[in-house]
Amino acid sequence: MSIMLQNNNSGGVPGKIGTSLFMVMFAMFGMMFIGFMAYTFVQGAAAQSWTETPCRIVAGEIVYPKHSGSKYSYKVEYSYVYNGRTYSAARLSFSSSEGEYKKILQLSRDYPPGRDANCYVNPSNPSDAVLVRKVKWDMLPFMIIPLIFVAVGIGGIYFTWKKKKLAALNNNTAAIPQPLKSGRSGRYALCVFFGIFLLVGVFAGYFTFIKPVLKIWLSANWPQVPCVIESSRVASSSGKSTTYSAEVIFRYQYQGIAHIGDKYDFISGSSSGYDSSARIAGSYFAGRKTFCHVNPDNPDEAVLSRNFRPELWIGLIPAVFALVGFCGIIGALRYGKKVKVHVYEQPAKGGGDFVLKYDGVSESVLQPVSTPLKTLAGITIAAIFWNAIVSVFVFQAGKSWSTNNVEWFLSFFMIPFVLVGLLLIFLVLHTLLQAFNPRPVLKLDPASPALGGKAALSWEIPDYRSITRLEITLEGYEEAKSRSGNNNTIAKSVFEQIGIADTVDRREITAGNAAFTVPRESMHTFDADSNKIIWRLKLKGKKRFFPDLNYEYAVNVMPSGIDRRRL
Amino acid sequence: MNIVSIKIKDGKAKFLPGEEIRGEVTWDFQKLPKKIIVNLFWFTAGQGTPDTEIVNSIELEVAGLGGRQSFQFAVPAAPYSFNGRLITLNWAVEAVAQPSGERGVCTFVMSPLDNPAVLKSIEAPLPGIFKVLSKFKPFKQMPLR
Repeated sequence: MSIMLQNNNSGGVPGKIGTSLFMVMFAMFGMMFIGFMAYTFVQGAAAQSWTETPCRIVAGEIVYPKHSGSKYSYKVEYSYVYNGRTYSAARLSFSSSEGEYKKILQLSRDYPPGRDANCYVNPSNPSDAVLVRKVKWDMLPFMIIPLIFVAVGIGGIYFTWKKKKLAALNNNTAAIPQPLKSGRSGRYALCVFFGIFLLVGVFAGYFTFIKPVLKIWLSANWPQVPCVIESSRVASSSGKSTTYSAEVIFRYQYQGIAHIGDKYDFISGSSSGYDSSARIAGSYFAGRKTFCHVNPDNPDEAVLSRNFRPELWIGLIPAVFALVGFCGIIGALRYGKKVKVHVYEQPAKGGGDFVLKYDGVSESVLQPVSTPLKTLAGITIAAIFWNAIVSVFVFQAGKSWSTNNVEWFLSFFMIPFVLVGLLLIFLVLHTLLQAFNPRPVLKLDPASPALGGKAALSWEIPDYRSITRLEITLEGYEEAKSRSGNNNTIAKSVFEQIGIADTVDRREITAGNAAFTVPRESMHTFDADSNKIIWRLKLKGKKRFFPDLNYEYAVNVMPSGIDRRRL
Repeated sequence: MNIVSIKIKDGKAKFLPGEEIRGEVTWDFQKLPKKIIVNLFWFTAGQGTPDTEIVNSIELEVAGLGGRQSFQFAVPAAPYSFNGRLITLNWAVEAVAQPSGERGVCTFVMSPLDNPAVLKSIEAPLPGIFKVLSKFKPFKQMPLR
C-alpha cells in the first residue's frame, strides 16, 4: 500500500482563542507591573544626572494617619535658587512618601524645618526637584516575578497556536503522525511551571514564617528594658478583604540613648483578625509603662513581645506552594529520566536472534507500584492544599454570620467546596488506616513472563489473621493520554483479566503459589509517552471492619518467544 | 511538482518480528534534493496523543532529478501491531526528501500472529471520580469476587 501525505492543521479554534485571551491577560498583568517598576526605576536613574543644589527646608511635618487604612507620611516643603531664580518644591522622593512611623520619624529628623540640605534639580525643568534621589537597585531582582508572568503568557500563546504537522493517508481514515525524536520541551516546561510555585512559595514563606521564627529564636538573649507606649491603633488595609494589624509606637532607652520602636512582635504584615489586633492595641494604651526586648547589635530594633502567636501558622501556607513546586519538579525530572521499556532492539540482519536491552525488574520479588504511605502523603498534601484555600473563604463567610451582614451567596457557594474538603479528610483517615495493613511479599518466576509463556507466582502475607479473603489477578489495560487545551485526560481500558488466586482458606492466604499463562494473542508491555500497555498484578485482601489490602505490582510482559531466563 | 514515493517489495503488508523488509523509493524532482532519508518507524493512533518512534534510518544517494533506489531493514522484535479500544499501533516505512520535506509512506502490520492482536474492553468505563472512589471500601460498588 503506497500513500502520499499532506499537512493538516489541528482545529479547536474557539478553545485556542479562549486560552489565548487568558494568556494575554496573564502577559498584560506582568507587563503592567514591569512598566510600573521600570517607571520608578528610570525616574530614579534619570535623577542621577540632575544638578545638586543647596536648598532650605521651609516646612516639614509628620502627617498622622487620619483613619485605620492610611499610613504615616512626611509633608515637606523646600526652597532653592537655580540660575539666579528662586524655586520651591514639595517632592521628597520618587517612591511613595508614606511608611511606617520609624521611617517617617527618621525623615523628619533628617529634614527638619530650617535645616540647610541639598536637593537635586532637573536642569531642563528647574521647577522639578527632589530631596532623595536614591535608585532602588534592590527592586531589580523583583522584576523577575512579572517577567515570569509575561513569559508564561507569551509562551502560552505561542504553544497554543503552534502548528502541528500531521500527515493523513490519501485514501482512508487513519492519520500517521510525522515521526518525531522524543522532545524534552514538555519536561522543561513542567519544571518552569513548578519552579514558579517553588520560588513564590520559598520567597513568600521566608517572610511569612521562616524570618519571624528565626527572629524569635535569635532574640532569646535580647535584653529587656523599660519602655513607654506613645500611641497604639488598629491599622487596616483594604484589598479583596480587609486585614488588620496592631500598630504600637513606644519609646525606650538603651545604653543611655533614646530610641523609638514600632514593632509589637516579629510577625510582619497584617492578618484578617480584627479582634486579636484590637486586643493588642487596647492593652498597649498610650502612656502605659512596660518592657521591650532590644537587639544589642542594633539598638534601633526592639519588640514588645517575642512570643509565638498562632497567627504565625498562617505563614506556612506558602510552604504548600513550595512543596507542590518541589514535588512537581522532582516528578517532572523523574518522568524525563524514566527508562523506556524498549523490549526490543534492532535484530541482526536477517532477523532471528533478538537481543534484549530490557532493563526491567531484575529481582523476582515484586515491589508495589504505590504503598499506602505514598498515597497517604499525596492525599494529605491535596487535603491540606484544598482545605487551606477553602478555609480562608469559610472563615470570611463564618465571620459574616456573627454580624448583621450575612454573606448568603458566599455561604451557599462554599458548600460543595467544603464537602470536597471533608471527603479529602475522610480519604486521609482511610489511607492512614490502610498503612497499618500487612505488606504481602510476592515472587514471580520468571520476573518478566512472555506472551504465551507460563509463570509461577508465590506469595506470603505476614499477620494474615484479619484477612478473610484473598484475590490475586493479572490485569492488562490500555492507557491513552490526550491533551485538550490545558487539560490532560487519561483514558483506560482493561482488555485482559487472569484470575490467579481466589481463596478464603487461611493457610492459602498466609502463603501459597499458583501458575498462570499469559495469552499469546494478547499484547506485551508497551510504554510510549502518551500511549501505554500496562500489566499489573492486583492483590486484594478483604478485611472485616477495616480498610482492605489493596496492592498493585507492575509486571513487564515480554513479546512472545522471549524468555529472560535464557539471556 | 516534486514527487517521492515508497513501495514495499511485492506489496507485502504483514511482517514477522525480525523479518527483513525490502522496498523501493522512486522520485521525480524539479530541483535536486540534498538527500532522501528512509525511516522505519511505528506510530500510534486512537484516543491518546499520537506517539511515534523512528527505529532505523538510512540515507539514499540522490544522483539525479529522477530515479529509484532500493532499501532494506530488519524489522525489530517489538512493539507488535495491535488494535485496542483506545490505541492502535502500526508500522510504516517513509521516504523524506530534504530539505523540501516531500514524503511518501507505506504502512504494514508487524506481528507474530496472522493478524494484529485485537484488545477488546472487558469492563464498562467508569467516570474518573467514581474510579477513584471505588478504590475505597465504603464506596465499593461490588463485593470482592
